[in-house]
Amino acid sequence: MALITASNLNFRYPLSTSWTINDVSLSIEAGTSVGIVGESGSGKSTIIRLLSGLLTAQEGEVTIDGRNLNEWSKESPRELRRFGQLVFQSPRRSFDPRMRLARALSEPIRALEKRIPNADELGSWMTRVGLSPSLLGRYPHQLSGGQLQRVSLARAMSIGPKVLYADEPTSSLDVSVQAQVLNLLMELRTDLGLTLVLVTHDLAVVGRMCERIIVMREGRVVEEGTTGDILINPKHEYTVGLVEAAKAVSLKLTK
Amino acid sequence: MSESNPTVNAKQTRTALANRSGATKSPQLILGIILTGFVVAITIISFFWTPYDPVGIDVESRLTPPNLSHWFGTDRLGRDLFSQIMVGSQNTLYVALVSTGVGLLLGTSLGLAAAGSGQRWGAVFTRISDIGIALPSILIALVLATTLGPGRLSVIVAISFWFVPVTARVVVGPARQILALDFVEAAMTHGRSRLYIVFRQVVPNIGPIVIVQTSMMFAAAILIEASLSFLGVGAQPPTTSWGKIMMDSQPLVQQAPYYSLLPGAFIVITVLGFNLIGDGLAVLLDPQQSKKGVV
Ligand SMILES: Nc1ncnc2c1ncn2[C@@H]1O[C@H](COP(=O)(O)OP(=O)(O)OP(=O)(O)O)[C@@H](O)[C@H]1O
Ligand SMILES: [Mg+2]
Repeated sequence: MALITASNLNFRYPLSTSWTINDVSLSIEAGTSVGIVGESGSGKSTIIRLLSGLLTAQEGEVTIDGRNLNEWSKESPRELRRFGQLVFQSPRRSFDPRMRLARALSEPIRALEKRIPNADELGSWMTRVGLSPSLLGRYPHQLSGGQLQRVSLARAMSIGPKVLYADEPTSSLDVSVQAQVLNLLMELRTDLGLTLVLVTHDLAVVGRMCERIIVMREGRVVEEGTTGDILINPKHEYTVGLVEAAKAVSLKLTK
Repeated sequence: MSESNPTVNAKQTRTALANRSGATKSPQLILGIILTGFVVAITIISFFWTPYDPVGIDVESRLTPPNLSHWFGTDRLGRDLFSQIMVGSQNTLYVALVSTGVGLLLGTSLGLAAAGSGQRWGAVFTRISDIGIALPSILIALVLATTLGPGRLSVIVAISFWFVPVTARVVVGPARQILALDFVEAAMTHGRSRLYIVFRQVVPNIGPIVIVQTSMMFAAAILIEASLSFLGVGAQPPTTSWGKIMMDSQPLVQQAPYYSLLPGAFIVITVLGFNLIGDGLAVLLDPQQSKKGVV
C-alpha cells in the first residue's frame, strides 16, 4: 500500500476565488523519491503543505501510512511532525535571524522529543552534513546559503522523519553549490531510507534524483509516471513542452 | 569545502557555544546608563535629603539667580529650585515609568494577540484602537480628574489610555510580517505552538521597534504630565513635578530664564539618557549589527 495518498483534493486559500489545488489525486510509495514539477504558481508548494499537514484541504482526503491526516493531526500532531519534515526554498528565510545555529538545529528535538540535545549530538549532525561543528555558535547571517541549507537538512533529519518534503531546496543557491546540496540529499536519502518528495522546476534535477515524476499545471496533476517514461515519452502536451524546453537549455549549455 | 571537518570535535562545538557572550561594548548604552543613573540617584537622594526645605517659602529672596547658596537659584515664591527639582523628579519619573510600563505591557500583548488572530478580529482591533488613539489624553485626563479627582492616578490612567492603543498599533504590523515569514512556518513543522512562536520568535524580532516605542513613550509621558500639571489636573500642591515647575516658570521666562531652563535641562537629560539606553539595547540585541559577531 502506498505511504502517502491523496484523493480528490480541492483547496483554496482564504481570499482566492478559484481552487488553487483542483481535484488532485496521487500516491507515493514508501522509500521512493518523487519529483513534483510544474511552472511557477502551479500549486507545487501548496500540495506539499497539504500532504505534510501544514494546510488542510477543503475537500478530499489525505492518508499517510493508512491513517487519515486530519485525524492524525488532531490526535497526535507531534507524531505527525516527526513523520514528515520540510526543507524550504530559501535557507535565509527559514532560519530565525536571532537564533544561533545551535539553537535552531536543536529546535525539532526540543519541541518534538522534549529533550535538549548536547553539543556532541549537534556536532555530529553538523559533521554529517559536511560542516564544522564550530559553526554552531554563529548566527544564520554568518553562513553562506549553501552552508545554511545543509544545516536546514540536518535540522529536518535530526528527529528521524520517514518522509522529507523539499520545496525547491536548491533554487536559491549558486549553481556550483546546488550539486553539492543535491548530492548530500541523495546520500541522506539512501542512508536513512527516506521517502523524498522533491519540488523543483528543474527537469534535470528530477532526472537525476527521482524515480517518479508528477507534473502539475494550474492546480491539477496533468501527468504522472516513472522518470524514464516521462522524460523520454511525455504524453501531455504541457509535459512535452517542458521536456523540449529542458533539452533546448541543456543543448545551449553544452554548445 | 573548507568548512567540512570529518571528525566530530565536541570540544570545538562547546567552545563555539560558550563563545556567545559577544556583547560588544556599546558607547550609547554606557552614556545612557550614566545620564539615567544620575537622575535616578538624585531622585533616590531626594527622599532623604534636599539642600533646603523644598516647600520653604522665602518671599524676600524670590527669583534669585543661581549663586553659591542656591545653586539653581530660587523660584517665584523664593523656594530653592534645586530642592524643588530633586523632589519633582519623584513624581515625574513615577508617572513616566508607570504609564510607559502599562502602555508597553498591555499594548504589546494586545498587538501580538491581534497579529496572531484572524483577519476578522484584526479588523475589530483596528477600529477599537483607532478610537483609543483619536481620544486626546488631555480630554480623558480632565474627565478622570472630575471622577477620580486630580493627581497622579488620573494622570497615569489618562496617559496609559493613549499609550496602549498606540503601542498595539505600532506592534501589530511588524508582528504580522514576522508571522508570515518562512522561519515561522519552519518552527511549526518542528512542532512549536503559536504561543511559543510569538514569544520566542516574534517578540525578539520586533524587539528594536518595541524599544524605540518605549523610549518615545517615556519622553511623551514626561511632556504630557507637564501639560496636565499646567491645566491643574496633574501634581497638586505641595507635590511638584518638573512639568509643574516649568509651567510655573512660563510667565517669568524673560525675567528669570534659569527658572525654566534648569528643569527643562533635567527633562532633556532624562529623555536623552533613556533614548540612549534604548538605542544601545537595540544595537546590542541585534546579531547582525554587533560588528564583532561570533566567529
Ligand atoms: N498564502 C497564500 N494566499 C493566497 N494565495 C496563495 C498563497 N500562497 C500561494 N498562493 C497562490 O496559490 C497558487 C499556487 O501557489 P504555489 O506557491 O503552490 O505555487 P508553486 O507551484 O509553488 O510556485 P513557485 O514555483 O513559484 O514556487 C498561486 O497562484 C499563488 O498565487
Ligand atoms: Mg513554490
